[in-house]
Amino acid sequence: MTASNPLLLEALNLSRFYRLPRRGLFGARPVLKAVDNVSLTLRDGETLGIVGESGSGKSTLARMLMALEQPDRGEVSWMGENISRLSPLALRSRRHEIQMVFQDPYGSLDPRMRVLDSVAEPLDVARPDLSAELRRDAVLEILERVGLTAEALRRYPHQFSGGQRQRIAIARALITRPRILVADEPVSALDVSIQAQILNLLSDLRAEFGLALIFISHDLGIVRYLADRVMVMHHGKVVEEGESEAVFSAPAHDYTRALLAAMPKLDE
Amino acid sequence: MIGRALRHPSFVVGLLITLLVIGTGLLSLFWTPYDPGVMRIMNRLRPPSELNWLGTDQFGRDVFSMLMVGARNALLVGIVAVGIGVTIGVTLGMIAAHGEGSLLDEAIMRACDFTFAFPAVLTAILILTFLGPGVVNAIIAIGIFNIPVFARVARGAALQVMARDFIRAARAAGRTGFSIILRHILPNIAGLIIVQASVQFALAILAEAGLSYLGIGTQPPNPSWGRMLNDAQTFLAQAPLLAIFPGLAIAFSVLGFNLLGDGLRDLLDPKTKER
Repeated sequence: MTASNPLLLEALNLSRFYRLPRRGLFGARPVLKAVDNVSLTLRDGETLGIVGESGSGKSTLARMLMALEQPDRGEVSWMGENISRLSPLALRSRRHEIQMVFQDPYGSLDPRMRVLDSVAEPLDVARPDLSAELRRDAVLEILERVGLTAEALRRYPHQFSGGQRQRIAIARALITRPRILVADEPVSALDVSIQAQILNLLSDLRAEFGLALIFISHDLGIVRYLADRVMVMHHGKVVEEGESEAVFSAPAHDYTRALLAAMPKLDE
Repeated sequence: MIGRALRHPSFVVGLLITLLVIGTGLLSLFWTPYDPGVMRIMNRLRPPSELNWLGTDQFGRDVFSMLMVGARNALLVGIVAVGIGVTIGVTLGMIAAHGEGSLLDEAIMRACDFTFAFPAVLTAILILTFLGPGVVNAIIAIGIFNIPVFARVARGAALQVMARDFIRAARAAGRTGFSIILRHILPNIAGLIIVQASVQFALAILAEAGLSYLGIGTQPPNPSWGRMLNDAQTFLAQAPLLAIFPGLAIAFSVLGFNLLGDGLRDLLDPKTKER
């Protein structure tokens, strides 16, 4: 369904290595291959799920896709432009097209900033000419869309619950109407009862805004619910990749099978 | 927040002492019982009385009036010296934190270590020997030693803040170096800087008193608590109160600023913040 849609995001042979502290006095510094030769594509309107246990390199990959971290090898393209060749100013002017929701809603909002300013921040960069009134209207509109009211504008993050904060973080990510959203474990820090609400919200917004979504999670059930295609990561490498249903119904790799077997089932 | 502050004993006591010292210093601009510079030799070394509340010194000057003007002097030294430390120190700390691990970071932090390696008061004496005695030079010497303190605190706190997701989120929003520092890092480390400033303020008052006691700080006829101590030394057997009053003034205000710092540290610590 999406194979003919334009390519929005592409990563080619991405690698990121971390040098660890020396173990002994004379030993060489061991190298951790956080992300090892990973390639991926994301087309307009498509949802790509990335699964893997913690430490499998998912978040490092997300940061490189967002140009928050430099890859040691490989390249990332946004809308066909290689971002490593863009000037800092040009990169900045394209950031409104690709936004991110972080795992921990307690850490991803500045505790000293009112919700109004936090949510408006991407807009302030993209449209610095906006009047205070229009800016406030834009924030209010998106806040209402994620289920919050005007009351939230003047308040600080610590006055909200985890689920509400994640709604604020989503509002912030969507205020510039990006074409791509990278969600890095957006519900794993939340109570199970709240997880479903946030996932439904993301699913609704994806349809409403026509988002291409990269959804990162260690929870296969959630990825299966949201993703068209799935990539399974293990020790920084992609071990399996394919249409979501195909991967889940007939996993080809041992690691994927182990992950699926580890999923809790209701009938047991 | 205000209710909680008022229930914090060291904050309240510290704040009251600090306000008393500041109030006295400000009042001395408009009113003192006597002109602290005028000598009345006939009235020398008087004990405390209704006319001279804290007595007179060896030249017949009113001790209470001198203490009042001395408070102003101590505050001036504290504000300017700590101000030098905060502005230059925090700026250097931000530059170092921004380029963490870079050559510039190393250079700034090693320069701070180098300054730390010298005993502060001895080096201030050395600096004053070169610059010449006087209150302005004393402020500069004390200010120089405040710079590395604030640079270190600011760098450490900034690095902690920079590791948090909201800084990544700001970068994802398109913010870059300077505006991230201004909008996200400084507001989040301001509490720590304020706490450090109140502690350094106490130390600056102590340092100025020490330098003036040695005769290389505030010069006559400007009253200074440290110089009053020095003057009183000669008459210690005859009029011990002359040494006790400025000594108490120094101890009292240093205590006040330290208590204020302790209280602020507790109040601004997010771990003790009620949700």
